[in-house]
Amino acid sequence: MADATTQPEQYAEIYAAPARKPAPWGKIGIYIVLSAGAVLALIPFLWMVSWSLMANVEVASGNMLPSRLMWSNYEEAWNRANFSQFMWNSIRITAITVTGLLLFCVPAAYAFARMRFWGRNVLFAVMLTTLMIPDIVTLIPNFLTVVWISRLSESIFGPAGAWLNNWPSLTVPFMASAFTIFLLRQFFSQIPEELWDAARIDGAGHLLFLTRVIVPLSKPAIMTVATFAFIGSWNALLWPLLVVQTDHWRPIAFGLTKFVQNDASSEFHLHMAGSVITILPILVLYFVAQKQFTEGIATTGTKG
Amino acid sequence: MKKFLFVTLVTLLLTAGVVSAQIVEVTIPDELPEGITVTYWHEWDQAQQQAIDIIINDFNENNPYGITVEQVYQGNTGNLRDQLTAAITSGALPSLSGAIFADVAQSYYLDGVIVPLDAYYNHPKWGFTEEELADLNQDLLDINRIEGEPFNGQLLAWPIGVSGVVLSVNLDMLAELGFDGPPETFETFREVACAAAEMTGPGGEDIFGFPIRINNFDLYSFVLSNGGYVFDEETGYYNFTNEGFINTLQFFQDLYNDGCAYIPETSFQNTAHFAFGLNPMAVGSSVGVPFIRNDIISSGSGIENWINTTTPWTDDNRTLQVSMRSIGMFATSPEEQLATWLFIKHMASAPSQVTWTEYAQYQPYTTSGLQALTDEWLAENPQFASIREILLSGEVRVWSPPALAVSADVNDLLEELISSVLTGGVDVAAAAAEAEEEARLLVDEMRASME
Repeated sequence: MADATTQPEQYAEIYAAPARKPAPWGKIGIYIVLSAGAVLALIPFLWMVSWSLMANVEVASGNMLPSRLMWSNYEEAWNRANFSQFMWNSIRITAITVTGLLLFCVPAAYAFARMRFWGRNVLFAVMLTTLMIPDIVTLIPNFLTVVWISRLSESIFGPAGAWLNNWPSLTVPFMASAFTIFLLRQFFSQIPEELWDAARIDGAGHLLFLTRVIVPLSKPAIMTVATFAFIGSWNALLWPLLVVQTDHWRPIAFGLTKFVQNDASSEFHLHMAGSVITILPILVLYFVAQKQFTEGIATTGTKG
Repeated sequence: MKKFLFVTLVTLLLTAGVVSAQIVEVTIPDELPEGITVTYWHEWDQAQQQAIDIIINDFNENNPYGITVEQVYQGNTGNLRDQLTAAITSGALPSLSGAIFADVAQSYYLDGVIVPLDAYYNHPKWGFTEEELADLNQDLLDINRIEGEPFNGQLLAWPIGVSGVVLSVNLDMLAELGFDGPPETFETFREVACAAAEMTGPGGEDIFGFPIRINNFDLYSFVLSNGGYVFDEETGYYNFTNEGFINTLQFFQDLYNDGCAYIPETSFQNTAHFAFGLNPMAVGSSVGVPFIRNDIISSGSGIENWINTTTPWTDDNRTLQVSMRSIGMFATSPEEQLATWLFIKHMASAPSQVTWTEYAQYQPYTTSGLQALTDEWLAENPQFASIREILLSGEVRVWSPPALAVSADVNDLLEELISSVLTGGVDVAAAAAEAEEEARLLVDEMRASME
């Protein structure tokens, strides 16, 4: 068999030693920068975990690492802050909020993206302008609105209809989100018109097109908005402090306040242990939905 | 943000007419139906929670009226105030709430939500007997009576106990430094702080000097003990430019600049460091003893000899600043208000006073409560006993900060002042004059809004 040493000259190029490639300094630089960014992003998390395993005296002394791992901090934080009740509350609140959000915002985004009606663009623009208003500005008007709705509802349905100290005040105000509608609308707009034409030919209306075509194709975007809604609902504290005064519906974030700046002393070690407990579900959700989340961010054009 | 929320909510509810700004009219029924529920919002945690559990369970089991008190922990004082602000707007007020001080009670009175207690206090059937009245420390109760229009000396809140701003001193560390007792003069105080800042602990850790909190209450204690004053009763304005006040600020600035003092990162880190053996002395509340004890045990610092005393003083100016943490009754129904009052009376009883003192270390406001504390218990609680001894000695002036509706805003001003003096290196006299002028404006605004 012929080999490189006996081949005619036409094979010389093929079997010639490959030219030296230049060193990938650009890639190295990028990886260094990304690694530094990753370390910077991880430091607070690692610090939190480290403090969660320390005694309070070590935290106060400014130690970076615990001298011995105090796993009992997690048990103490769980029991002291009634985390079992608050976590169950947060699970219920978040499930209801995310479900409601998707039920209302997906059709709304579809209407803005795929349906033509009078005033569509003006309405969309007005909705977008609400994104410019800081949440803190609308906090009190929203609270007053909820108070009035609660009184009206109680007068009609009795105590069971109360919104305050009950799940409606914690979930209903967050079931319509301008950001969610905007993000989904961007994604729905990118779906080819030909699919709609084909669906119409088959006799499908808007509802069938939405449920059988749009939604299955939009899983990344829907997972993205669901993740954002989950995180927002899970971490909420200020709004629940206003509308709920009993432990029956208080979210998990309220449990953390027990360890911070109470009128006794700050128990940072328990606060950090409680924080780790609080963010674990979010971390699990992110790792499970990471692929769809990243794809959703990329395809909707929403970054950062 | 909390101040913004509070002010805006109160403004909205007044302008929207959600709650009338009229004063609450008290109606006291002659009979009380069975089965009334009293909702008590509080800020008590740990040892204090244990005490309130005992007091409430005792009342629920033994009161002859079938009243049930339901307690709800609402977080710290700040969180509880936010909850009350929201509840004033929504109308879902509790029967009784903690975190009430004289200045806050005034605001709630003007909102028409807090009930003055005089009618219950003096009621022939439901009020106190002559014997019970004589048992109460009227001077302490009067802290919650606000003179002048529109309050007219009404009792707006009920005390839950007296706490003092005290100096906790690690006698073991001081002995090691060559001092045989807590510092009584400002010079000795400085010597202790500077000597401690040079020390190294048994584990090789750095010992800090004196922790100066960015906190007006600590400043007040030092100012009063230094012959200064905070509020001019004659002019009716705050005064931050008197000699004692300026000297105290200068003392703090020099101590900090010389490395003999530091600023703790959080409100209670100073006493946490104290319990961990990282500083020789710290200013805190006399009711912080259970928490300091817990920290001493959990940290293994081994501190055995420590006491509470007053801040150092000049001449005859030894002062103990006291605070009357109180509870307030909110406007509900006449029956619920009466039931709430009966629970308040139960809290004033000697057994409740003793329970509260034993767990939470608040000084009782009744003579029977004071007398019920055994010598054995006092011996086991030297920190409480030392303050009690100081109070009974008659050698100390007992003082409370002025209870004006703008107190919280003035506190913020003073925190900025302390911060700028320590970390900004500003001229003390100039900074104090500026703060005094701003406080004057606040008082003028307050008075204008009441007219």
